[in-house]
Amino acid sequence: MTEPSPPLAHDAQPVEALLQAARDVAERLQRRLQAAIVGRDAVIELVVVALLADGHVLLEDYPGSGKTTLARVLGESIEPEPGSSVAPFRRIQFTPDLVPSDITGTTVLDLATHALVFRRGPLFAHVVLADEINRTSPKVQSALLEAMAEKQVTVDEQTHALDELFHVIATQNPLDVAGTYPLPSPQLDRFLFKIVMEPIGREDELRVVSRYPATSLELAAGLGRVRRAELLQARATLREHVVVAPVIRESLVDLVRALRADARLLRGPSTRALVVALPALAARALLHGRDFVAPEDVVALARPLLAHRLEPATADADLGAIVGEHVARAAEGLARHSLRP
Amino acid sequence: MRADRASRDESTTEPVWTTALRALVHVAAAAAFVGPTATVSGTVASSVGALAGVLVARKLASGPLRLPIVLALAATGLALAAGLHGVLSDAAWLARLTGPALALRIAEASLLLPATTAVCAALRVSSARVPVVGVIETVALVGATSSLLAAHRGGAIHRPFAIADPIRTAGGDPTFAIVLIGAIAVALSVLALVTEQRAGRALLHLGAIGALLASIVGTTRLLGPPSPPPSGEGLGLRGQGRESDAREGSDADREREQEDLAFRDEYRNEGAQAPVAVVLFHDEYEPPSGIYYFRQGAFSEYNGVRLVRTSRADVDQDVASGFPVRPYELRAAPASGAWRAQVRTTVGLLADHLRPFGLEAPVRLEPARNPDPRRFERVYRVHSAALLADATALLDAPAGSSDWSDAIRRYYLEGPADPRYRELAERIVREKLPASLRDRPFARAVAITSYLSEHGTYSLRSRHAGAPDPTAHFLFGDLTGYCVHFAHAAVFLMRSLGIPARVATGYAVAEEVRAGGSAVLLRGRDSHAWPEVHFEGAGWVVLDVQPRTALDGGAAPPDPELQRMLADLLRDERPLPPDPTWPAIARRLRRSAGGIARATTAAVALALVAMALVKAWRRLAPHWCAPASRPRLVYRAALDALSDVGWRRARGETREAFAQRLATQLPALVALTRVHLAAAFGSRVAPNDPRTLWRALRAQLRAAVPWWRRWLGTLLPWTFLRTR
Repeated sequence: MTEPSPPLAHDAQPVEALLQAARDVAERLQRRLQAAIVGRDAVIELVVVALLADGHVLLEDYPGSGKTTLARVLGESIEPEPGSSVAPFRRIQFTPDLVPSDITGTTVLDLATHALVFRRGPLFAHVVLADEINRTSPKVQSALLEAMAEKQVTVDEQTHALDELFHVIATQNPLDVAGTYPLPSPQLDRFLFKIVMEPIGREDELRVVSRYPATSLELAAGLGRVRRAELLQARATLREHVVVAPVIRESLVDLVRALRADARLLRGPSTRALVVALPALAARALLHGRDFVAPEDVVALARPLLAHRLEPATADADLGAIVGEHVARAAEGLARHSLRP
Repeated sequence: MRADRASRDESTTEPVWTTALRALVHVAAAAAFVGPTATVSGTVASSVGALAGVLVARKLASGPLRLPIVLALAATGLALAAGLHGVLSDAAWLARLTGPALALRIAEASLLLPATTAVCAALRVSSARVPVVGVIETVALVGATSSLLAAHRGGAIHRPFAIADPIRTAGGDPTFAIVLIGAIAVALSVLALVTEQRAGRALLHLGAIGALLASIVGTTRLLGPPSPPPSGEGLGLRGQGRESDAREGSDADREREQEDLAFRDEYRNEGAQAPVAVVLFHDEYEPPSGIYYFRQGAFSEYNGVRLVRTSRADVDQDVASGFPVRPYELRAAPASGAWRAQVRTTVGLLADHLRPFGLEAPVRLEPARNPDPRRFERVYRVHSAALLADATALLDAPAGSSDWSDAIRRYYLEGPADPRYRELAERIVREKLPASLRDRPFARAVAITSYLSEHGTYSLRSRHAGAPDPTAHFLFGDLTGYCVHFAHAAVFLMRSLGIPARVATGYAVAEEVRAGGSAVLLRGRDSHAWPEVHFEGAGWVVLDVQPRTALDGGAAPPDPELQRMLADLLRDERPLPPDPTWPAIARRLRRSAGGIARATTAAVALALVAMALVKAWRRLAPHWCAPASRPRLVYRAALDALSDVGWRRARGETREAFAQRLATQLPALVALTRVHLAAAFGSRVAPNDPRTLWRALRAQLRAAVPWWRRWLGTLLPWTFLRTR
């Protein structure tokens, strides 16, 4: 069954070893995050999937639910390359008076050399926590979103490339919406996942409390970290070696088209959703020790992938339920297909 | 406006089956409403109209048109339909073109189709937009359906003809069908009402419906045909839902009977139209008075206020005390002879009665076969000695009987001590009779009844019950009352003159009600009390009072169709010639039954064998298949084995989730599923051999499921059909 994989320029390891290495990267990330954050394994899995799939994450949660810890531990799990000037983790608190240069960086006059030099903003990091993204003006939002989409910032008509490993975890508070600038839906579309964090259970909350006096960061600190190069290799591996069967692609397209045709929705998912879904599915397959995307991956990722890309026809429509309905149909089709010769 | 929009959104998501249900209800209601008054094509037109109305409403309910505009459109549609109907009805060209019959049908359809469309659409849209109107819609639908069955009320089991006749012809009981139609209509309407509303409201409605159903279940008889509507207890003639087989009426019954013959200010006559009994005449008999009297009880003992049922054993022995279990003769019954002729009758009771009754003077009671126990409470045969003699023959007869002891004679003469009775009686005799007749008891009794008939006023409402002597209050007061008052007054007046008299109760029906048939139908309203006088040789003779003036309107005679039909039922005869269609079909079915049975058996056996072969193939195929398809086939065989014991993937569940669900009992299934999916979804990693996993899975299955369950599943050939 094993086919010879196309030879890679930078590596000629056998496929099994590559897959194992990528899985190992994901597992180390997961382990560190799980050590620091209790009761959020599903969220952790999605965040790791997003990091591997090179997609940004929007967290919808309440203050104090551990999102900063999540982002910080994720950032600090990435071992910076020696000599790199890119910080592993930066946090930007979005406020109404923020200006784009506050996050991208600004050109300043170096008094010593009398030359204009670019001072890098907080976006030059591996993991950026964009806290309460809906509190800032659309101008700043669009600067962030440009950086997310292009992996570059433009300041004074100068384009500065961001690091290849640039991962944004944005948060917004779903309740406190007074004086906010809600993200327009085309911008929401740029996030791979929107993850709604549910309150954790009593047992988990007890475990959080009983860890005192150790802090989350301390607990995670001892565990193995991930090198930037390893992460990039893992991304390449899942692009190259995780199989997305034609029937899965077909099923995804049909799922998106069915959502677009649903009368309860004003707008269905974009084609971009399909494009970004593939690496995410592959990353999840990898996390679960597979070299192929299974229907289970579609079911597990459909909601965080698609729900925020939909615009309901009525205010009280349950987007999750609508997606779930269509996904169940897709899963049934895939399950039936698998028994056919 | 907001509510309007909200409900509009709600109706957007109305599932197709809800609309289908609504359409069914509306079509049925429209057909039921229009059917009795229109031709078949008209009924079809209105059904189509109702269907169109529901479909139009489905579109409109979620559309942008506001409700008043929709209603205005519906009204315009109605007006246009009426106009079109008017034009087409008068159009000579149409009749010339199509012939008059078709022209009539076209004109009818031109009214009915658009009218039902407009009405149904208006109802549906309003109830979809304004939830409260859902109730109105339901009421309208139920009303339309019940209009069809309205003719059935009052126990008229032969109505409506269109439903009852075919069923009776086929030998069934129309009551069942009519009740079934009503039940279906109610069930569908309830369903429509519940699906109309959101979850919260539906809960409320379900609660209300539950309470309603509970009250219905609590108050109606659910098994067997429904009993005729309650007709009251008459004058204590009928016990409500009570059996009294005892030959001797129990004390409680007697108590009640006396209670019921008491004077009441308002004699309520609910359900008076409901039939209570049918009497078949086996001998021709025309009563001299023109009225059939069916006596059930007699009241002769004076208790200081009124007459009650006797407490003595030696009087009123001609009154039957219990239903016949075997034939028995009544003691002290009058002999038939010159005075009386034997008349045989069969009585079928439709309502429960406390005691049997029989024509005039029953002599002998016999039990009879009940031809339809679902319909008749009880059937018995009565031999009566019915009076033939008229006034001239009785004129010379002495009152009382020579067989009576002095005590009995005194007993029958006991009455109030009030001297006014005697004074009035003597005045009546003086005024009414010529001197030559004044000493004849019969003439004196007739004088009294005719006096009461002339001066009395019949009314079911009166004001005598409160008086210490209600009879005196009636007689010397306004002379307005009902039969119990008149009977008592007559008896007390007669007794004051020394004529032995008593009050009898039962049913009285005018002879013309027979309408030439051989049966009379007794209804609740026919219950009656009348005075009787005993004459030497003739026995007890009915001398009734018939007030000339009546405050209460007379009632229509019973439906002759119903009377004939119930009589036929009692005779165990079909009133309509049996329809030859059904027996013919049944015969043909019987003749071909053997062939059909053999063919069916063969087909079933063949199908079972085919399924068993397919199942075996699916189970064994993994052993010799190509390696490429082995994971799939092994997995399919494993799923079949799970289907055998009833484990099955839910719809929409992924294969992995299914395996996880069973992971505690069958850990090997998880691995097997993985292997299968890897093969199905293009994994490039070399798979494990699924056959070792399959062996492990079988071992786990043996541990998890009892052997008989596994064997049973293996033996049933169709279990693989459940595999998904």
